[in-house]
Amino acid sequence: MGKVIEIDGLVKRYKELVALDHFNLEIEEGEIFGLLGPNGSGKSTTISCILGLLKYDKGEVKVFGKPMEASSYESKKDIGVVLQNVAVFDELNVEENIDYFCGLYITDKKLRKQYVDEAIEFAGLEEFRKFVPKKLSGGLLRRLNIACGIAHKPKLIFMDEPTVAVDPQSRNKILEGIVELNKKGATIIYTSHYMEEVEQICSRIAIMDQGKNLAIGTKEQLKDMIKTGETIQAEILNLSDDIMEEVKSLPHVYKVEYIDNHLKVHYTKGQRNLVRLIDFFKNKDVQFGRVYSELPTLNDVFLEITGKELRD
Amino acid sequence: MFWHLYKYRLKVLFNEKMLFFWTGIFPIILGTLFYMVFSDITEKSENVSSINVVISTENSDAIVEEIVKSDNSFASFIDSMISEGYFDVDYADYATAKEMLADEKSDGMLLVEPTEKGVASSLVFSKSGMNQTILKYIINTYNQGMMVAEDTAMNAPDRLEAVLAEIYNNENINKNISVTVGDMDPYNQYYFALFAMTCMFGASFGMVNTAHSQADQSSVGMRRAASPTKKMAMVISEYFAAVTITEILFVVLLVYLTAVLGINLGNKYGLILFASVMASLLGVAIGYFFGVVVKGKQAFKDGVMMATILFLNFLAGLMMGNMKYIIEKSCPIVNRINPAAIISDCFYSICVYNDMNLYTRCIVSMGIWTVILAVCSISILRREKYANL
Repeated sequence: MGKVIEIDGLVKRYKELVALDHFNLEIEEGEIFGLLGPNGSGKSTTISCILGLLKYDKGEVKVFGKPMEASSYESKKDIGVVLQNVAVFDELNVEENIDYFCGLYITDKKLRKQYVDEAIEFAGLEEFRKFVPKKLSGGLLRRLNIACGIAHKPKLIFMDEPTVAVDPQSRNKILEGIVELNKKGATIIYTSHYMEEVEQICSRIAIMDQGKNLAIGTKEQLKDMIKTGETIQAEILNLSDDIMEEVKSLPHVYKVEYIDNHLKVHYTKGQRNLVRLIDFFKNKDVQFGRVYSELPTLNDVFLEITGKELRD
Repeated sequence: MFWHLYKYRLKVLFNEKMLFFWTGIFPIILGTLFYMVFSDITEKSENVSSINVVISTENSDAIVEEIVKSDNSFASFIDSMISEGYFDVDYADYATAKEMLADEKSDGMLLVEPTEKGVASSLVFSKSGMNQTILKYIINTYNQGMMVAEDTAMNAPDRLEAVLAEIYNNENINKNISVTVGDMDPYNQYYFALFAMTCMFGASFGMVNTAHSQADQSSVGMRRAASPTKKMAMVISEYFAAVTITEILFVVLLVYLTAVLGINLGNKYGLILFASVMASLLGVAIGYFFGVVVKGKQAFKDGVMMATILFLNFLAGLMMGNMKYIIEKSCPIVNRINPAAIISDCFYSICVYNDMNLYTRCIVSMGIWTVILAVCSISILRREKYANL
């Protein structure tokens, strides 16, 4: 598998604001690669630079092994773009919109007709072929936006927050579709600030903030990078300070909080933490209700790396 | 690729309902209103009894009758109005004339002042009514006829004799209570203004095209910029789609005015259509130019463009008949370079002057303007990388 995208030392400034700060990235063929970061972290700027739309101050961008320029028409033929804002013509119906955008890549009419039909089927828009965009719901509109970006069967697809403002049913449909496209051979660059989506579908993830690539790897690798191995919560009424202090001294515990009758124990990586804690409660005759363990999420990863919540 | 882009651009522009209204429907509505107003005035004026007019002078010491007689054409015009029974004329000093007007012994006061070119006339009314409307119409018609004659003297002196003959043609005056020149009723200038306006409004279609072509202006522009289709191919096919739509709307207007309303615009339709194609090319190029040169949000761009077009139309006399004449006297270069003036001149040259030299000059001017604007626009549009998105 070769490298589909190589970014080396990319710097992009908007006057005083540094949108991309010596950003590096390599994406392998066949990946669903997630760019995760809060709004304004530089995800869309990165995509615009890769697509050759945006001038940048420094660095190098290669796509399919070749430097990417605005005039890299050969490379562009194999790229599909699903933008954050729905990019369709309000004046054309569903079928015409897909045909129009597919026609920018595929000149053969017969082949294009086949591709358009397949894209309509893929997006589940068969019943809405003759609908103009304003007659579609938000979810259907997003699906149309995706269909317009992938109808020409690109090898590399950029999906910039394709599920923003979409109902859960449509969101699931969209995510399933992305996985399906990947199974058919497309490399997908997926940006989102919804960590659950990225965690669900992406094989590798880069965490971005303030134009920097803070961490990169599989979700397991990212979670391994942080101190938190596990967080155990327990419902306990009237926990004494003495017990709190004793919990802190248990193996692997690095932080203990007690808020609204909930004890929250943060562990570094280690084993048998839950069993050990329950045994401790029994031994100390602590009355407890529900007890549950949570593994770290990407939000925890982000929180630890940046010191702020992903959705700030 | 050209046809793919062209076909869909036609569909997109045809469905731009607001633009379609202003460029296609609005001129038809205006044309209908003009037709109703002008024919109403004409019909009523044909059945009216004599209008009492008192002719006076305010600033001159000369005797009023002498002032009138000092300008042969004006004197002939007044005489013909009297002999045809339209005017019942009194001559009086200013104070008496004012009194007659106040006592409603006169429908209107026609003030005359001697000038280098003859007699300058203006009307004063004490009330409004049908007689006042008709009187105003007749005097305006005469003044416009004289302006046409002066215009002809400047632009097509070889046609002057024929034009003057038509101005003094009593048969036409009797029929229309207007001064008719060749095939042109003076009120036809308003229909030509509509033609010019329709072609100039093609700029709106050009503006829409630029918004859809630039990645920093619309998400559709961004998606298209990311595609492997070359910018030039997009710009050229979509430019011609915008021209096609403007031209279709022009033809619809022309057919409506001539076939449905029965307005006589002459019979040189080939020349009119060719002029309209050139004017549409220019109009759309203006839209492209404003679309790429003006920076800011779309509404701001639209506002700047429409304000400029309306100002150019104003200078070209499309809103106030005298303006073009005033500019011709004070700063003629403006009329030579103002696209709206060039377009309207082109239509006048076919239907009024019958002057192929002027027609050719206007066509060439439109072509030069189109090339300048198109080259400027394309050189900016063809860039494919942006500082901001």
